[in-house]
Amino acid sequence: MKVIEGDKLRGHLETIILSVLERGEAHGLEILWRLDQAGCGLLHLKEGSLYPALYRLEEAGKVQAVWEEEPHGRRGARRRIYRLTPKGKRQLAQGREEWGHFVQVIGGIMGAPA
Amino acid sequence: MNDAALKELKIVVEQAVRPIRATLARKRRMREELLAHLVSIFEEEAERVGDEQTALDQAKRRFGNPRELTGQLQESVSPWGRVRFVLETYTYQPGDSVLRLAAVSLLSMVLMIAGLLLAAMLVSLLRARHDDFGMLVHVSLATGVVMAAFSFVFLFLSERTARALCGEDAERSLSKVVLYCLASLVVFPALAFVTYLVLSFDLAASVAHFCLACYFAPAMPLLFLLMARPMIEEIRYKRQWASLEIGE
Repeated sequence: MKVIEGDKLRGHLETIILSVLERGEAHGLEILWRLDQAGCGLLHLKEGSLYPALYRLEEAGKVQAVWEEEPHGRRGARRRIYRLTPKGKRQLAQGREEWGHFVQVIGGIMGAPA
Repeated sequence: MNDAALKELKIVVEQAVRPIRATLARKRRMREELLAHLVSIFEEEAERVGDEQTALDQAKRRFGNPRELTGQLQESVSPWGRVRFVLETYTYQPGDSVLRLAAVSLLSMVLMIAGLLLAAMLVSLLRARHDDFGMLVHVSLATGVVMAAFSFVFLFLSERTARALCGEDAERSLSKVVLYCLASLVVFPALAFVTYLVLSFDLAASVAHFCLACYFAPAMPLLFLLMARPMIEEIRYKRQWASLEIGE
């Protein structure tokens, strides 16, 4: 199967991140590992691009972040652990609903219903 | 991981973060988090391929183009974050030049006087009494000048003490620490004297206030010494990241 590049994820990345965090809190790299697993390795995202999306979600109060206690040997650089907020959960439910509608409508137009 | 590899990763982070118009605290958070991510993927790749240079190239490839990331990170800064950035641009930060400190103090004085004068005019208008307007103007001007002068001296001395105490090797000097501590002893009583003098024009009472303030003066060097460490850490942090050549 063809890989899905970052550009095609535009507009969906935030909802995808929320769905990953629904499974439990995680730092940036852990989120990418989970995405890779869930997408069977077909999701190709430039890793740096994850962070602007996380910051937007944090600004909007959809995720909450805390610094990890210890840097675990990463030369003093700490990671931030992200978790879903109640607002993020509501946003995720809405995102799923919108995605279902999108697939139904576009699938209908393209003659390839979901 | 060797220092050269870490520096390479820091340069990637700095290429993405330095041009962003966001507060220093926000950029600091971005730097640390992005660096932690890059170091993690570098270590992952180094374990997989067993060669640091290849691991470095792979880590950079996985991370993506830092110049493109700058735009995305900038978009993640909220309008309020941009306002705070603009406000921060007009405040003093440890490590800035003395000239900038003087300019910021002058600007704060002008703003303070303008604000106090406006408040004085409003009070005068609301109370329909114009006889005390002159006094309100006098108080506003005196307060603005004294506060600005004090903030300039306070920040100047505290930063100089910090640098002399634990700055770079060339800046460290015990005699300078002693000199700044002695100067700081004078600051509080002098402030009390000048404030009282410009408000009351009463020399005898101002001297009395000077003497009273002398009792509290020994606390000032202690205060500057307490402020030294966080200030110097901030200066070192700024220098460390600013020294990276990012090929702008």
